[in-house]
Amino acid sequence: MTNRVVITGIGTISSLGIGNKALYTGMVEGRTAFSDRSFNDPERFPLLPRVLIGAIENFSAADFLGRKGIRALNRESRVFMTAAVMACKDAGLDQSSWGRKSVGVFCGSCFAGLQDYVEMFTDGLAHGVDRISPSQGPQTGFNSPPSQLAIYVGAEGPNLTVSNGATSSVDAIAYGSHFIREKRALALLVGGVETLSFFAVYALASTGCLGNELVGPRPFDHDRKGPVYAEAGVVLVLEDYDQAHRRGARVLVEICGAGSAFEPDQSAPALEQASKRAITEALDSADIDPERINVIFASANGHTVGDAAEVHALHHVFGEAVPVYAVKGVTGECLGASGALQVAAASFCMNEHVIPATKGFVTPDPDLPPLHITREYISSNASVALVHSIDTSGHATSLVLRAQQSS
Amino acid sequence: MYLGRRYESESRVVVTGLGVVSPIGTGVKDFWQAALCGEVGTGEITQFDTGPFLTNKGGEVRDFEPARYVKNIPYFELSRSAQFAVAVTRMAIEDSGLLNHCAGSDRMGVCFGAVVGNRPGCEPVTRKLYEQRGRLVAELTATSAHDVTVLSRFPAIELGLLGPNMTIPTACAAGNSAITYAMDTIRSGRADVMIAAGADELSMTMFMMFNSFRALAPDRVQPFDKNRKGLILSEGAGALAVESYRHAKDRGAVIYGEILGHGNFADGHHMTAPHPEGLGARRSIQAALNMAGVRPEQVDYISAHGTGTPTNDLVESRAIHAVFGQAAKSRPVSSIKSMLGHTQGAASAIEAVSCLLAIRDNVIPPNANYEEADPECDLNIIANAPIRTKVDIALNNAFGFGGNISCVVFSRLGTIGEAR
Repeated sequence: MTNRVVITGIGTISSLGIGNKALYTGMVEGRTAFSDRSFNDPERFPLLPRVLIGAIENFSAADFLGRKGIRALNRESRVFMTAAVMACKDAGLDQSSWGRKSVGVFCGSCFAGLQDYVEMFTDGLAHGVDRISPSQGPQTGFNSPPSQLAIYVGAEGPNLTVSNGATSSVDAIAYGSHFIREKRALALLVGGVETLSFFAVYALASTGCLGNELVGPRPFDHDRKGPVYAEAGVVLVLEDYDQAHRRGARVLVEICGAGSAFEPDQSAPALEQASKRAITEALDSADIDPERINVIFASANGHTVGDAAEVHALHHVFGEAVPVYAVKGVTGECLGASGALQVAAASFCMNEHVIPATKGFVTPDPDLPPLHITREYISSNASVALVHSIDTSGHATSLVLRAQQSS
Repeated sequence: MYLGRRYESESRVVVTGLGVVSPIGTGVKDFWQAALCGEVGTGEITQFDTGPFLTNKGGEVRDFEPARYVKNIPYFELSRSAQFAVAVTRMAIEDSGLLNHCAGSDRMGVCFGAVVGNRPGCEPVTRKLYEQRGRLVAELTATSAHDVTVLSRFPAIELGLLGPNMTIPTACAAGNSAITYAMDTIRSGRADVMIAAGADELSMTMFMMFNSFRALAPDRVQPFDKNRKGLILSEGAGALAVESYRHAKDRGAVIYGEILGHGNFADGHHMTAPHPEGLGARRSIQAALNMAGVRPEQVDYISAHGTGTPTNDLVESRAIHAVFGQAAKSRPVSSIKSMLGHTQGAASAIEAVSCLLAIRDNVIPPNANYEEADPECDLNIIANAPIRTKVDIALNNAFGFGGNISCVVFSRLGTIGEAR
């Protein structure tokens, strides 16, 4: 019994497209798909100023899930469930033959159910509370996507929702790894989902999170002006290594360490401190020294303070030689789905032996310590990766991933 | 961390502090006194107009003074549920004797569960936006009501708790989910102390939802009673200071009890209806007992989820019978929701507080409003008055929408295994 936790399948949906190939080619080509949008629901809400977002386009959940019952699902459930179906297929995990109680679902999300909540409230105002449909209610909860997925695929194992800002899904992956190691489940469908509705965009705009300029994100760059928020759904199949080996599954990467930290102050020094603590804990739990890390998948999204904190922390722990790639340059900040998206990016890169250029990074910030942020495509045999996730509210979480050929 | 290779693991996890804000009292003393008196805290809702609804009953917290507990953050900037969260955290930390040791500690963390948390704060903003519908938005009113992480962040900020910080919104099982996370975190050696808690506030939208289900009781909650008519929506918060036994012992802390085990299985059946045979509940109860190393007949008290809806109580009874077998008819069962109403994500955290007080005092709180036994819920319901009896081991059930289920087993320290 090894108690090792591996990823055997990945499903991704993002503004770059539907499926892993769309995300991977977008990363390698440095392609973005941001567009300025207005949110128009004149029966319920006023018109918001146009904002630049990364929206999931040309997505039909029915193509993956069938039509039965799909009208009752909100957008985030559809995205998350579709990503999960893709991940199961990628893992060769047969939904009809697994032990239902051995498979669980963990999901990170910040906004799940938010739009349904405010729409139910406005429907009550507009039409009277006796006109509220009972089918609306269950979609208002944070736990709707993982619960709907569990019902759809028959996953009767542990089911958990995590809402921890941009670290949500990487926290879900870390805690899910613990469940696998403790043999509480043989497989977990773990990831995150975020969709951008009227109220989510309003809330981000009202708290100054959205910039006025319709320009793409510039992670780590001197001229960074803030993140571009985006939609995504990402699901990873986490498995016990022995179970994966028994069924002859292809192992993509192993999760061999994790750490998290919180600092109440949202300043750059505090976020730097949280990052250092999370990274150190992850390295300790993987029982490796910082020198063993040969690629970093960073959290940077163009946030002035967050990116600076991350640079300081990474430089402090790893120096300036390790290549650093920030996938949010092409995907945008997907909040609850971001951490899982970074893990997916890490898995793609380690298996394809490449590290893409960080889109949007052009001019190093002279006020920050030097870091090897990728500016061009690199061929790489990186075998041990750090995924680092930071939320500017004070959370930081890190994972250590190991490529299979190095295990 | 969670993978815990280099950290020294801690096998025993105890509870050294409690905090409660509830419709039957704020503070552990007032809460427990009212619970043992069978005091019903539900009544007419004053927070919003219930005119259009089928019922006007709710469980409001009426005696809460946020300034007493929220001292380091402007309390008026916090949502009601965040005020509750800070308050119960402060109470639990004070009760544990850690108040002067927590500021700046990265070995003490916070985990809150919730159903909606501070999301009800979206309602006033939404009302204004609705009035502007079809036009260009007039102004952006800053709202952080979309951000449920405040439930874990503000208590940590208030008291300087820098350890693991997590918010787990797993519907009405969330309080027990937070306790599970706290236990796992301490056993992994990642923290010495975790606040494990749940908090939620009343909201018109949730009232709309349960009204649409026809699930609200018209006047009172009657769990397991033959004539039960539904639940009553409430608000509140509960917190446990969860601590490694070694840490608690070294500092000479008073220990309420031990957390022996937990179980978490999903129904995977329906978003609002439980599995008819209580599949996830049976598995979760059994897993919690297995992890605890406890046989069903050793359980002295079952703190039921017991919402008072016809379906929940029937299915919970079936699950208890399936796991407990012959012992099902003799194990004492009560649901304090009969007094508090359903405090949503706070419910199982408050019920966990009740379990630990039951163990401390060897008394089982009553299942209020119980008049006629339901032959389909053939359990040993502790009707209307508390009973004095040995309580060494308690099971706390929590079931949520989406089939999210979490069960936790508590014991008097040393009941199972030797307290070293």
